Amino acid sequence: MVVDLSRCVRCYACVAACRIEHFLPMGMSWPRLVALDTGGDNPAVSTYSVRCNQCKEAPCVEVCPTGATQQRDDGIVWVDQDKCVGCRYCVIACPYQNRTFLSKDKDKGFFPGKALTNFEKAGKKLYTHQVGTTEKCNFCAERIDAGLAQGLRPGIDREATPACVNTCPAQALTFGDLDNPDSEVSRLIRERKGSQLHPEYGTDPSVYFIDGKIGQAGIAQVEDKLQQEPVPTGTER
Amino acid sequence: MEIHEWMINYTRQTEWIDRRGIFLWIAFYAGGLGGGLYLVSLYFNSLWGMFISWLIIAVIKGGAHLIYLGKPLRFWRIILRPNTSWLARGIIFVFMFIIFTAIQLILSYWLPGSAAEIVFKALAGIAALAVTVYTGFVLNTVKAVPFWNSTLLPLLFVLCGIMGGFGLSVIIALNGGNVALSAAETGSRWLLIINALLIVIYLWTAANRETTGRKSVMEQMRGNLAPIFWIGIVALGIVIPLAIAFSSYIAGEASPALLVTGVVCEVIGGLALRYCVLKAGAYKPLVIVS
Amino acid sequence: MANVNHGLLFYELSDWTNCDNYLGKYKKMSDKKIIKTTCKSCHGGCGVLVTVENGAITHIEGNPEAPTLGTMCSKGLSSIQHINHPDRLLYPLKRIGERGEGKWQRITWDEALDTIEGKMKESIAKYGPSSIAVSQGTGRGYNEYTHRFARSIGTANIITPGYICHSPRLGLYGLVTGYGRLYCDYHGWGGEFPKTQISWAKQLEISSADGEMAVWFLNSLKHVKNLIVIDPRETALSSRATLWLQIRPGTDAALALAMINVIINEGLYDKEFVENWTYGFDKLKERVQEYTPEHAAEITWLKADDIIKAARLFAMDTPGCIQVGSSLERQANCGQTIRSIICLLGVTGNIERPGSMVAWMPPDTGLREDFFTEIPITPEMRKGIVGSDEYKMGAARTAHSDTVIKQLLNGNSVIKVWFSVGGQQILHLANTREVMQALLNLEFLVHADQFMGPMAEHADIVLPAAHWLEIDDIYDMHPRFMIEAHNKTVDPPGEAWQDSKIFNELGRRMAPQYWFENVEKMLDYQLKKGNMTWQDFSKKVVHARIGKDQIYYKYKTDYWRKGGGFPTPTGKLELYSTVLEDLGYDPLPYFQEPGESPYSTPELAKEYPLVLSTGYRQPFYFLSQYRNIPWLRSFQKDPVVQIHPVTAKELGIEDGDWAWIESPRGRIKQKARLFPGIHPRVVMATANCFYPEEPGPLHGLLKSNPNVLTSNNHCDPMYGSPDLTALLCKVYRANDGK
Ligand SMILES: Nc1nc2c(c(=O)[nH]1)N[C@H]1C(S)=C(S)[C@@H](COP(=O)(O)OP(=O)(O)OC[C@H]3O[C@@H](n4cnc5c(=O)[nH]c(N)nc54)[C@H](O)[C@@H]3O)O[C@H]1N2
Ligand SMILES: Nc1nc2c(c(=O)[nH]1)N[C@H]1C(S)=C(S)[C@@H](COP(=O)(O)OP(=O)(O)OC[C@H]3O[C@@H](n4cnc5c(=O)[nH]c(N)nc54)[C@H](O)[C@@H]3O)O[C@H]1N2
Ligand code: SF4
Ligand code: SF4
Ligand code: SF4
Ligand code: SF4
Ligand code: SF4
Ligand SMILES: [Mo]
Repeated sequence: MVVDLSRCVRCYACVAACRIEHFLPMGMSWPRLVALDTGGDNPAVSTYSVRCNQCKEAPCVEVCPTGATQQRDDGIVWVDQDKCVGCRYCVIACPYQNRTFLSKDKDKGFFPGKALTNFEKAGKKLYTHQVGTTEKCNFCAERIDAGLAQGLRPGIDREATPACVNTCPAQALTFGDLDNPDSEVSRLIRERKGSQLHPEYGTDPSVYFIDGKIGQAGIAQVEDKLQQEPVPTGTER
Repeated sequence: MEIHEWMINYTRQTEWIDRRGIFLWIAFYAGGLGGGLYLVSLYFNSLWGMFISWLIIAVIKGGAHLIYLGKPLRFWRIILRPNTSWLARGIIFVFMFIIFTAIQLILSYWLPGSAAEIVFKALAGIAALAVTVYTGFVLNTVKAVPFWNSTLLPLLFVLCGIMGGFGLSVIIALNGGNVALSAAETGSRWLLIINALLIVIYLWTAANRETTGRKSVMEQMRGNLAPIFWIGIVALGIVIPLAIAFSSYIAGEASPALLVTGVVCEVIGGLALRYCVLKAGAYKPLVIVS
Repeated sequence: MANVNHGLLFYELSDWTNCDNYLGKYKKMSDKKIIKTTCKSCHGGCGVLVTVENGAITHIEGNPEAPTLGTMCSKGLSSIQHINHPDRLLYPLKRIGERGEGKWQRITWDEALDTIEGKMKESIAKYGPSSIAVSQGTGRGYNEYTHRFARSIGTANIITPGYICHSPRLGLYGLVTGYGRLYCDYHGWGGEFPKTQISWAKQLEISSADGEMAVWFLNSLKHVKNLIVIDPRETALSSRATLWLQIRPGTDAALALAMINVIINEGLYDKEFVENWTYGFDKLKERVQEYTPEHAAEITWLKADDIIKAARLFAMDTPGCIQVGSSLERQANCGQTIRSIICLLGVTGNIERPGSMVAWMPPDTGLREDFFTEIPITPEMRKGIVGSDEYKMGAARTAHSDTVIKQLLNGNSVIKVWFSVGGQQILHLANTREVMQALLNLEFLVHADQFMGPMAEHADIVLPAAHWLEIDDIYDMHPRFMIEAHNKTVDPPGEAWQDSKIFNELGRRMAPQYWFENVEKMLDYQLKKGNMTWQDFSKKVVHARIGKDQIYYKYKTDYWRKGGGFPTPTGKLELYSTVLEDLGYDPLPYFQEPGESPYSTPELAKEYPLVLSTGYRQPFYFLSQYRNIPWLRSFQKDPVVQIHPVTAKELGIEDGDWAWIESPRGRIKQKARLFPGIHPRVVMATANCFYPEEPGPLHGLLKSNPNVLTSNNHCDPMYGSPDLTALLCKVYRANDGK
């Protein structure tokens, strides 16, 4: 996947689309927006729409003691909910913090104390989430597989393309096959110098970012943010 | 938390310390303490010590781990990927220790001095060492947390474990377990010193590698963790025990009460150390802007 | 249908719109039902595919066949949580305690309608039809019904936020084109896209406001050469702009006039167009002389060079368009600001040419307005319009809200009975405390809504309204070139009715000659011009006039007047407006300081040193809506006020602190966000916020809503718009935390 930072308008549609696509429990959010605002000589409101990078050398796969987290041949990293014991080592080990442990308090329902909505009830049948296990973005594997089964092309035909990509009104997200040099994603990465997050970790992420704007001013921002009080990590909630 | 703070600010690790995470903290420390005590007990050949260390690991550590798991009933799966996962390895060590030590204790009780006993002491000893050391590696492999990503960490954990071991053996000595009190004291005295030095070096290196690491250290010295750091690790963990140790060194002997306090302080200090290490572990900002 | 839409941007997005095999998937899933409908969780218009499995919605996503190309935003998608919300209003309710006490009793629709009918007829008998006001919120697809209902019972006292939202633009564009609607040509149907785009006080990228959808705009940016953003705040858009003018709120007219000054004096204007098609060029030239870039720079806090650069870009790199934002219309000088901008378009000839500003032609079903304009406003109706004597532009077809409020306070109110559909006037009008008081002085207040908000809490009767997923209706917000269908996907909860039904049933009782046997007949009636029935249209979902069917350069054809020209008294585009002259307004644009500003009220500025603007939309909220939708609330729990880090440091405020914002009217609390992208002397507060979770009747109305701070004393002479987005304030840390 390629994220065009110059196009993203911080609208949160991708986040919402994923929540619906996967019937995510209330406290769960697979994609997230990282908001970086800078002033000074290089003013920018830039937003990184982040989700699991499907790292080629995935620490989460490496540290998972049960083998629940595993990598498919197409590179998608996924969690076998039936094998996960909920030790959270992967949550700790993901350098990008793209994993969330589904604790009870994250699964209280849309309206705690009230009856489940029809949508939630349907979700319980169509897309189960196991409390006590860890989850993350799976690049809409189900959608892709269903699409491929009909001979559709991921990144081109909607039905074989992740929900967040389809819904993005800015077309900031492009999906496709990195191994195919002619694919749109490969082209974008080549021509617009796609970069990965923290390549120095040696994880080789499959999500690339192009046309970021933040320069030194950005660093200053991050630095002085670091001077602030610590804040607990977690989903936006 | 607000979206603009996440992974831009100093973003702490929480799963392994906040809320139910405390169980993991206890488990980690129990591992070090139990393992350490076993090794020390081997040295003094104190059955009591060995038995207690077995209890610590089998009951406290094992229990804490089990409670912490999101799916306890599947706990056995956690040993399936030793080839890549330090956690899997660690838990295997724990199992081995529990089994070997159990056998060894039985042997030592029924047929002391037998070849079998020696063998199992050796095996259990190795397992014990592994148990004390692995937690260090579990954390040290997390690339994105600079504060953990340091080779000193495993070493620190081992030493701190053995130190605790000596401490406990002092108590056992006081309770007439066959342990040479003076030897135990000397041991813990030295370890106290080395440990103190190591902590200083560890923090110093962490603080001077890059921002997030420094932030983690500052967090302990000045930030929210300061009380735990200064009272727990420094005062209780190092100063007081050292004071007591040296007073008894100079005076030749010290009142048991005083010694016990010293040990209790050490233990608290050890807990505090693990706590701070876990609590201050923070990730590098997601977007390194350049 | 499909091919019509392929006409739209197809050369870029044909792959996206390749949806045959897409729908194929669903054909296979025989047990599922996919319903095509239209979202109006904002001003709306996104095509939606809703998957329904045995009575429950299991999936929502954009409809790739629709002009919005299968995209949707977080609000529309989160409708799933909206429709099943436990707090939805289910039954008509009647107040049994004091007004605003929150004591209610369930009643039947019949009792509700009988009571309302009774009260209205009584009031008409006693005070005449003008004593009845019909109000709505921002355009949500119920406009046609509110207006038709009001006119059908003989009142033109329609209360809408229009005068602070879009109407000034439409009215003043109307003086130019006679038709009232100029839109940016983001579609390139004329073969050209805008080369220079000005986004002027607009966040179209997230607001999809006033007839333009974010997706069209963002698409057109692929072709744009110069993007100029005029905004006191940095936005996602300004970050990619060629030029970002960080203007002082409320001074946009000065900027526009200075740009005209540069363009005329440097001879960069479109001579051909100006000669042949405009009126009053010389007078305008004279007028703008005082607005030199240097002078304007002082007023606007901009650099003169930037003003000149902007002017040159816009005049030289044509075609160009200006996307006007409603922040400009929430200011007491909005009339002349918009006039200035129109003149800027006029002198650069950016009217009706491909890639500039175009008055789209409606589809063959005609204008939706016809549904109410077919009932004319009689002279006595006009006489009865509150505020019409003063605000001749703003209060010509609708009442002036703030005058209504003042009258209610002063006990000389023309309005006695207020029938409100949607809209939270109680928090969206200036000076919340006065509005609250005024509502208590009403004889009778009815409010139709989906939730028990502050407005409903103050009503005598509350009617439960349906959500767009639960209704069959014709939809057109602003995009005049198409109408879309809302197709019912699930039943409304309890006894909730769709707004059109509420109006039709009440209309049948009040003025049967104008209303219909049932809603379907009413829909058929609205479609008859396009000789379609509702049944046909509901299958079609989108009925549009796009691509080659739109003609440009209408003034060169007979479209507006025989032999060409503009539908104005002079037949020209009136830079000098004869119409305004007749109404007694200055026919030429000028700049006027906001009612409160460092320059208009320097004394006040000593105590309230910061400029406050309150117009900025949140992508995940819609005005006062959606703070009760968990998914959307999760993005930003509390209303945020943006402050520059330097200013905040001086004030001892840190990121995330609660901060008091105070004006002469009162003070509110919002969470401070240290934002380096805002002008150090400006703070930007989130508008229209209350806390649904807090106890009624106010639901935290006074805690964070910026209209506690705004004043309704100083209004635009043409439109009556108060200064909502440019006033003075002081800010300080709220020590008690929350
Ligand atoms: N200070 C300040 N004040 C402002 C603004 C500002 O920027 N700053 N903006 C102004 C502008 S431009 C506007 S448009 C106003 C609007 O401000 P609001 O009145 O808050 O917004 P609306 O969306 O018109 O009204 C929202 C209400 O309508 C209800 N509703 C939504 N959909 C429907 C429906 O289909 N049927 C029915 N019956 N009810 C429905 C919602 O539940 C909610 O109670 O605020 C104005 N006030
Ligand atoms: N997601 C979402 N979409 C919405 C709405 C919503 O609440 N949420 N509201 C709907 C409604 S009713 C309306 S009217 C539209 C409004 O939507 P827009 O017309 O886009 O208006 P705003 O977003 O209020 O303000 C746009 C920009 O104007 C800037 N601004 C404020 N004051 C001034 C000024 O004095 N001069 C200049 N040049 N700029 C200024 C603000 O910083 C802001 O960035 O959006 C509609 N769409
Ligand atoms: S949907 Fe697109 S534009 Fe909106 S936040 Fe996500 S990536 Fe950015
Ligand atoms: S991003 Fe994190 S979760 Fe995703 S593959 Fe990489 S390490 Fe694993
Ligand atoms: S939480 Fe589950 S997926 Fe993560 S490491 Fe533990 S077992 Fe593996
Ligand atoms: S790719 Fe699919 S799973 Fe991943 S974030 Fe996007 S929608 Fe969610
Ligand atoms: S932009 Fe408006 S119409 Fe489109 S999905 Fe969002 S709320 Fe619905
Ligand atoms: Mo509006």
